[in-house]
Amino acid sequence: MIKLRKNKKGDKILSIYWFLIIFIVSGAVIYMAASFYGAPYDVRMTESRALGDQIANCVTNGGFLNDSVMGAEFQKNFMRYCHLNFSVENSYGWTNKSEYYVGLGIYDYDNGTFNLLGKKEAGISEGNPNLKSTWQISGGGNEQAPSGFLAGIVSSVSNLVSGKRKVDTIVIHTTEGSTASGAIETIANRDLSVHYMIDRNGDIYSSSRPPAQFASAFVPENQPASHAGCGIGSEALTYCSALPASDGCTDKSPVNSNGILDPKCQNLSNPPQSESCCIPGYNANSIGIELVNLGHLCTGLSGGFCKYSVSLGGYKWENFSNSPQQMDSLVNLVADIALRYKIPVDRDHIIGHYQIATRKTDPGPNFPWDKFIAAVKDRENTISVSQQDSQNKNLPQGQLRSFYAIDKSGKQYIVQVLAIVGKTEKNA
Amino acid sequence: MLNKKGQVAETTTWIFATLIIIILVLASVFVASILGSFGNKRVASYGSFDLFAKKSLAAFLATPENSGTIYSKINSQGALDNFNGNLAKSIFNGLYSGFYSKGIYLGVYDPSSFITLEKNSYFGTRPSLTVKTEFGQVLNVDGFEDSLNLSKGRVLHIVLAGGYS
Repeated sequence: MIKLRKNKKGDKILSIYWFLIIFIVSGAVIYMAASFYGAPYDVRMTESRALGDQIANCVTNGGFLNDSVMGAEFQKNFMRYCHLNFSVENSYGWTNKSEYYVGLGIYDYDNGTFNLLGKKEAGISEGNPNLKSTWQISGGGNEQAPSGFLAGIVSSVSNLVSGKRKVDTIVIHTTEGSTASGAIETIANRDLSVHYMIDRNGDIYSSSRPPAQFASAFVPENQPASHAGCGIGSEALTYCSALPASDGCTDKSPVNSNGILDPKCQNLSNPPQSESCCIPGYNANSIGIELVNLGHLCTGLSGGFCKYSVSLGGYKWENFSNSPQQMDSLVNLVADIALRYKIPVDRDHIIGHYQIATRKTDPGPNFPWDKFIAAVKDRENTISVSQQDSQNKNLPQGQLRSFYAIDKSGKQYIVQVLAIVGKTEKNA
Repeated sequence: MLNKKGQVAETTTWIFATLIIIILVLASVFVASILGSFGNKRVASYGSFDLFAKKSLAAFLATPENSGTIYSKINSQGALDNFNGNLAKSIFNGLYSGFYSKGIYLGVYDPSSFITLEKNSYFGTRPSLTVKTEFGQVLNVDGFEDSLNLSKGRVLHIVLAGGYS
């Protein structure tokens, strides 16, 4: 009897022990599964696309703009028409600040010019506008749309496509003309090209935002543009060496073995009218950015063109301080490119066109190089930190997308939709 | 005496077994936590459907050309012409080249022909949404494609290749 009692007690203890072990192991398995599979999904981009699709469906049907879209009532009650209601987020405790931003722009297609020549647009936006600025500065989104109220967004990855070429220089040009449209036409007609053009209002044009009839004026970043003046590679060497010595380059090879511009070409008393004194290969390894700017304001014309002179003192130049939005876009764009290609932000790598083609003067003496380089460095730091933040701290995610539409009369439009989503979790 | 020794030995065995179990569990929890931390970067995918491109295609086909629409023109001609070819290039290259890096194509082809890589003067060669690796595997390329049956067995095909960036 005594023996039996002892065994019974031992069995009880053993049962408790086994329950304890099962409890510990089960708890550990649950914890492991939760920690491994329970990490939150980042649904911001998905949610922004769903939002964008919702708006697109609300605006058009079967390719046709809905009748009500251009009316004042639609613009006034956009949220209701599109069945959007951001107040549902209150259920997650997001009461202080909205975590959504949507924008809608409708533009005349105007024979494919994307309103480059005249902006006739209908713009609606709802939600928290702070999300848009935070999203932009963190390098968010793809530029792919016509200019307008949603634009001014610096290209992040749109123009960077597969087959990335080596880029170590950014060349700043000025159009020496009054309008972007005129400059684009001129570039295309001369079989030249550029990667970006920045208008005075800060709008950025590129191959992702081309004017249809002059699309050849822009090439994507992964292709060399014909902007630096010397052709590409061997073509440039052939071109330069074929020039007479009287052009200024006595050795007919303006570049020394280190690839540096021959000093003889840098201090020419009579800059050649040809493109002889330039560094071949700049097209191949550079990104060209045109600023819409008159350049030198002519005091006299010769054959319809400004008289060129070695002395620049006789000319006045359009001041860049008159176009702060343009400079701001330039700073954003250059910082973005420099970060992506790891280009040092200094005057050896961010250069003016005049530095590689002696007959060129752009961007001219009024260009604030020191201030500009400092601003680019500053912006580069901001973007870099913000990009890390966007991955680590749940900064807004979204996309700017566009589609083509017509109305019942056949009039053509480009519809642009921006949808940005902020935090996706409570206390995230 | 002997029984007592046996009990002590058995108890010691259980204590060590318990310790080993706890150590193994803690090690597993630690490893799972480390592996789980990579999960923070997971991003939900929206899939390859592109409503915006589809809407652009619908509007493009409904755009008036001569007395009909672009759809009726392409349907009767069996190919793009100067007007609708340039318009398509402007729309699809202009709006989507930033998103689809491996090629944009819109054109008409005849599936019954043996020619698999169609070409037209507006978009060049039709990109494929599958690639063959050096090991002989066939992989799918991210992208969007849609097609529309035309008369005489021809097909209007749109391909946006390269994945939605």
